[in-house]
Amino acid sequence: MEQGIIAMTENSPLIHVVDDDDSVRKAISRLLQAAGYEAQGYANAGEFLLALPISTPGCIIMDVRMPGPSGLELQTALNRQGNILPIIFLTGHGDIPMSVQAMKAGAVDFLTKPVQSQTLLAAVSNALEIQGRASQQQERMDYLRNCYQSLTDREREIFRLVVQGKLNKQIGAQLGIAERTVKAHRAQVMNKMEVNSLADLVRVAGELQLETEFSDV
Amino acid sequence: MQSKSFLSRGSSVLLEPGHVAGNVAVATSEATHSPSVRRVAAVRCIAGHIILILAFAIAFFILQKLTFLLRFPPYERTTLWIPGALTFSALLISPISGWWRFYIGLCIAGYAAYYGDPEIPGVVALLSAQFHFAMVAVGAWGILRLTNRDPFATVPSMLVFVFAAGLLVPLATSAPSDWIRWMRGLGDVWPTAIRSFLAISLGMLIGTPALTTAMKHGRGWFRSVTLREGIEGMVLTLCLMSVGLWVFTTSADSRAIPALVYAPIPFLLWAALRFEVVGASWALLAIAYLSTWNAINGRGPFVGGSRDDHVLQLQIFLMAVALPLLFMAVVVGEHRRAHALLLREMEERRKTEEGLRHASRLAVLSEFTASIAHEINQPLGAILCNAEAAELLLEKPSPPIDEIRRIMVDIRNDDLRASEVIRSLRGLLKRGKVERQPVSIYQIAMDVIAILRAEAERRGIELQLELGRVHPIVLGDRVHLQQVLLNLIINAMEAMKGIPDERRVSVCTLQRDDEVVVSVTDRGPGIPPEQIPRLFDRFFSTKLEGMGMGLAISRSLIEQHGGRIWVENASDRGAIFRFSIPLEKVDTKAEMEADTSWNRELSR
Repeated sequence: MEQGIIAMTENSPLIHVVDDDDSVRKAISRLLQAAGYEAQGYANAGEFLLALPISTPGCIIMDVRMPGPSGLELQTALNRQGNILPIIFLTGHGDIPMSVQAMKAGAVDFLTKPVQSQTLLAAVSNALEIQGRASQQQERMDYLRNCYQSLTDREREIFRLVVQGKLNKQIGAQLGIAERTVKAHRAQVMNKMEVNSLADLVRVAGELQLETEFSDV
Repeated sequence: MQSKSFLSRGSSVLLEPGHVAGNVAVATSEATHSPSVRRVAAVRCIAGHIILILAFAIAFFILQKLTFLLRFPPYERTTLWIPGALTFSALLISPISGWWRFYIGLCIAGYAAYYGDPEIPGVVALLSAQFHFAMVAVGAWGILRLTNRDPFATVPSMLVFVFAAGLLVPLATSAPSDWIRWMRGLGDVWPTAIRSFLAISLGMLIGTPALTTAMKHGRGWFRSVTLREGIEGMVLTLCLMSVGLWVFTTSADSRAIPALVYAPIPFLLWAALRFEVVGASWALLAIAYLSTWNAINGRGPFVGGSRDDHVLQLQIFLMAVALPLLFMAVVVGEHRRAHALLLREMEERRKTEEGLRHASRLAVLSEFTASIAHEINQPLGAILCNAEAAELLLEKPSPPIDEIRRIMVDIRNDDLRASEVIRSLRGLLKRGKVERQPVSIYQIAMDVIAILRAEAERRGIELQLELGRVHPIVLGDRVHLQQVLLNLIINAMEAMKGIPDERRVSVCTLQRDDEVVVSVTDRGPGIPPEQIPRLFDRFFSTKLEGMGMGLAISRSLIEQHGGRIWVENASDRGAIFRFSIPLEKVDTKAEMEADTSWNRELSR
């Protein structure tokens, strides 16, 4: 890494530049650094794959045509691995089918070289915004999943039935336990899932997409 | 001719009534001037004809009088009669519709020449002129019909000319007066008739080519003469005149050697070989005048025996020299023109070939313009990013000067990289002369690879370059050698269409003995053995969209460099195209230097 970016906070975004052309890669990294981002260059798809998994937020700027796997192939591979880093394609001469394929596969932008700094930096900040929203959502999901993991089997069962709209009495009858016990478990679920109302609990269940996987979780 | 130039100088509109009417309707102001202008033009036209007639008559008259000087005193007839050549020349270079002017001029001059001559009355003179003109006209018409206006261009037309000018015209011109002599019973007519026939024939044959050229080209001919030709002509004239004077003025009593008459022949041959019919004609005229004039005055090798013998000897000598010389001059001219035509055709062919090669280069390059654009676009993109990064850095409170300096270095390198691609392309796009100069096979290979790298990348083909240890220099045309290599590499890449693995093209240079061999190897399916013999033929293509010119052009280019091009299939898979070029001898020091610089280049 070049000097001048040492004083980066833990969560400052990192831009990954994948381009086989040394001078282009260097120039783009340099421009990004001058604009205040941290940048990391990779000469080909393989080098980038070796650096995975990447935990820091950021985005990928990628050339389409490279020796070895192309940019589009790398995108497909990353998608399969559940990559959440937005991809900006940068190409010498992109044609329409190529850009359509890239955008369908989730690329946030498809730029042609030579690219003006304004365009590139706007695309980067847009990508980071998208990535920020995605990672927030991811964080919440992780958090909710953690809460859900903390429930006991009995509590999860009661969670499911509550969300299905069953009354305490019905739940008790179905599980063969007292209505009081059901009430106690239900309070525990609300507590562990950090919600105050039935409505909130239903929403959380929706976010976790629990209905279908209820039986096997 | 002269009248024609008058016509063209005067308004041609006025000589065409229909046209005038049309013009009057369009522009009435012109109509008021029209009659006077028309009158002026008509007067000019008539004046032109009259001037031409008089000029011709005067020229004829003067020539007639000049030839009278070439008479052996007791005879009234000349030994060499030139005026007939003037008539013949005039008719040859004038359109048939203008011949009447020369007819009138001839009648005037013919009558005037014999005016007051008791031997030949005016009627006979006029009659002689009629015969003369009629025969000349028939001869000239025959030549114009048969020979495309220039009787001295080919041997057949020269034969027609000799028949007309050497036989028909002299017979017709001398016959009337001979007949009158015979009618009057003036002694033995026969020797006189032979002498006058030979005099006219000689004059026609020798004089016509010289006069035709002089009248046709006039001053223009002098302007077209180069300095070298002018000097040569002057030297020739000088030699011819000195030898002629020496040979023909040797006095008769100093036991002149008869064989001396052959002395001028080498110079006559010189004239014929170098200046064709015109030169031969003028040289013959000069020799004829010199020999005749001196013989009349009792000098030279022809003075001996009776006077009849003098004249006949002289005439036979001149005839014997003139006829073969004129024919030889015609053959030389024919040969020279054929040679010039051949050279011109070869030059045209060469130009066509070069055009074809150029077109083929353009076609090849146009196939991958996108890749070439990419190759230039990359450094341009890097330059833009670097420049904008520098701008951003400069806006900072304390700009990092070292970083900006590094950026500047990178910008310069990228700029050089872009211009390098353009440089290697420019030669191939240019349509220039073939230049033979020492060129480096390495440089050629590197340039071609630089152009093709992006294209190979696009097709997912690995392009390998294996350069031998020594640095071969050959004598050749850089662009043409690049074109050959370009064709071979593109063919190799085409050959690997649809081949999934080992997509590799390798270019190797190898120096052995006194030649350098460049090979292009692909890992495609190879060439079917039955196609190999025809592979380098024109219009033979295995590609669907191919023209079949690439390999044919490559072969012709390599053969022009004194090399060979051939193809064989690799033992396992793919084809190997090879070409060899003879090595240029260079001093080892330069070779070493070039070698190290290249190794540096390669290791970069």
